[in-house]
Amino acid sequence: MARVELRNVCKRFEDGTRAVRQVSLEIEDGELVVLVGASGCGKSTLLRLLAGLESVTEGEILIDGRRVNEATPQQRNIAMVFQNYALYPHMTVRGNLAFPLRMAGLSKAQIDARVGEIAGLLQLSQLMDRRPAKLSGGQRQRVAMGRALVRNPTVFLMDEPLSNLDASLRALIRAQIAQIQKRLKTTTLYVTHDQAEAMTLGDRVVVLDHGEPQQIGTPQDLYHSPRNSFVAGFIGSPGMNLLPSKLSDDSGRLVVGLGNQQIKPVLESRAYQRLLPHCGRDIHIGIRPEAFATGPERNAVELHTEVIAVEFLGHESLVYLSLSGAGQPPADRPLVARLPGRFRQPVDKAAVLHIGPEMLYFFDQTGRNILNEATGDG
Amino acid sequence: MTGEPYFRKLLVYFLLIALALSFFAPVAMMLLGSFKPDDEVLLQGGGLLSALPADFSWFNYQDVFARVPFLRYLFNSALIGACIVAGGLLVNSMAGYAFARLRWSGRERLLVVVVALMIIPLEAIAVPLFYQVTLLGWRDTYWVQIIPFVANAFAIYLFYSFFLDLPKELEEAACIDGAGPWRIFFSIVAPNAKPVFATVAVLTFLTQWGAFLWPLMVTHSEAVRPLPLGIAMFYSLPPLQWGDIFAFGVMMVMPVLLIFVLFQRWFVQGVATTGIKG
Repeated sequence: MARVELRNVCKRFEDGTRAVRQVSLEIEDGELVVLVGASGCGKSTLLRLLAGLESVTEGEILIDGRRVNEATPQQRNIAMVFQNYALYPHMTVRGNLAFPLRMAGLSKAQIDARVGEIAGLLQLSQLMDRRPAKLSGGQRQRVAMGRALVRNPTVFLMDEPLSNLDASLRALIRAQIAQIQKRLKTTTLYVTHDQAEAMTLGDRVVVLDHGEPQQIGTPQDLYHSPRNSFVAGFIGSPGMNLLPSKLSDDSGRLVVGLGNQQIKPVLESRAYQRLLPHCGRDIHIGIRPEAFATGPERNAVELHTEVIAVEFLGHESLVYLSLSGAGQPPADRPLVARLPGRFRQPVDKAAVLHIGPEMLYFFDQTGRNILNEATGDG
Repeated sequence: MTGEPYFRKLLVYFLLIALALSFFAPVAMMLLGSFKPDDEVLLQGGGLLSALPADFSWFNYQDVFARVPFLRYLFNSALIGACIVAGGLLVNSMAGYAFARLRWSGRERLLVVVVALMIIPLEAIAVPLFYQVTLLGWRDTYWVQIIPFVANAFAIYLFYSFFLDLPKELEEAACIDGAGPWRIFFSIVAPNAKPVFATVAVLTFLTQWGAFLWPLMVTHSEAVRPLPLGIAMFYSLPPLQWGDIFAFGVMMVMPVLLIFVLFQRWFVQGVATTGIKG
């Protein structure tokens, strides 16, 4: 177990690509932090920098206060689970589990004892003499986990370890990973492109875009108080609807223009004061799909829409909408509402939906959340 | 099955069988000839049946052992071949790995040189090489037949292209598990490169087994001469006995055939994965 600190870490490749820019992050002892972002955002590179598989261009990496920029992977005592598991094909499960211990110079008795212990923990005892080619995806994943855990690493790195599994197995193994991590309390950095995985696993989540952290916080922070429109759009499934808008002031009441509709949400005076300077400027309004209601609520504003398509999911439906008459948002990104499964409005018909004023997010031209109290890393 | 695909399949099989027979015919002629008395070997006519020995005899084989030191030639060829294969597998695989995985200055340029070297035949460098080994005092030794052929541009390139396709994560995982570069190469990379090792071993051994020009240039005593020079002895030992030459040829081909059969599975796999077919 260890405390990991990244200080202004940058990575520039030989071809000039800047994969990681000024990342500062502290991971507490025993904490599970998830790096999430789209493909190519630099999350795997960041993990490889921490593992010592890539060298840091600028900045410092510290493990338990010790600078490890120049240390080899084995000197860092870090273990890693790779996306494709990287099991040694010519070795049995036993051979794979024992390899790190053999490299550490342990005696045969010590190796056998430790391998047996890990095999028991991960329910691999029956598979010890099989080679990776004879294992299922889930079994391979467990062997990869076992090989990483077997030598009690100080830090545990996981690079999209569930991406090769089918959906049902993914949920099961995800729960097992969380359980084992809580039990062993090993400091863990987990990389995924799946925001649902990030939200369910992480004590804290780092949202990365173009090598830069957009927000670092608990899953609740990211969902309820996104620092900017990127995080708002990335977190949640489907992500937040972002609609171009203009604000105006009508004698002390804020008016939000959405296409040719004007809505007047009842806002707290503090929120009103913050939004006032943005009147007349182009902004974006954010509405989560689950913020829409079919019936009127107290202080809720009405939004007139037209139904484009309905995806019935049983207890709920994803309803794709356009704003009536305004032709907004663009056809390739319609408004999405998560409504109860009983919603039965036919396609091309009008639907009036209701939104509570506290469910509206306001993003300025740079994408910053205007009402977000938090500063710094968000 | 409809008529047209059936006919096409029949045609393909017919062509394949004809091709296989044309490859097999010289070997069959050599094998059958080795059991014939010398005056029967070159007899023409009489159809296919005349190809079979009228009087089956081991005489030619006995004659080979009586006229030339066959076992000495066989030992020399086996020793030289084994040394070139063993040394070559080690040196060329490590060079291929260095080109494929390690980052060092001048790597790309040197790789271009290696590729260029593949198209230079031995005949083009035989004379300067001859001067070189003469200066070193290596003539008429085993070394002179081994050392110049251990490093091989084609083998390096085969290893290089195979290692490029090997998942890099395996080596990275081993590195994180605490293995150093040597351990990674010998414990992780090499065991997963068996097909290319087998391919290079068979190709190198075959090339060396048939080597004639270089041993002829640099050796003169029977103590170090390989099999191809042994078979050539029959052309300068009157009378010219074709039956003896065939018998020598059969005994010369057998070890190579055996090695090929033993390594065939890996060899075919290696040829497919390193892209040397076609």
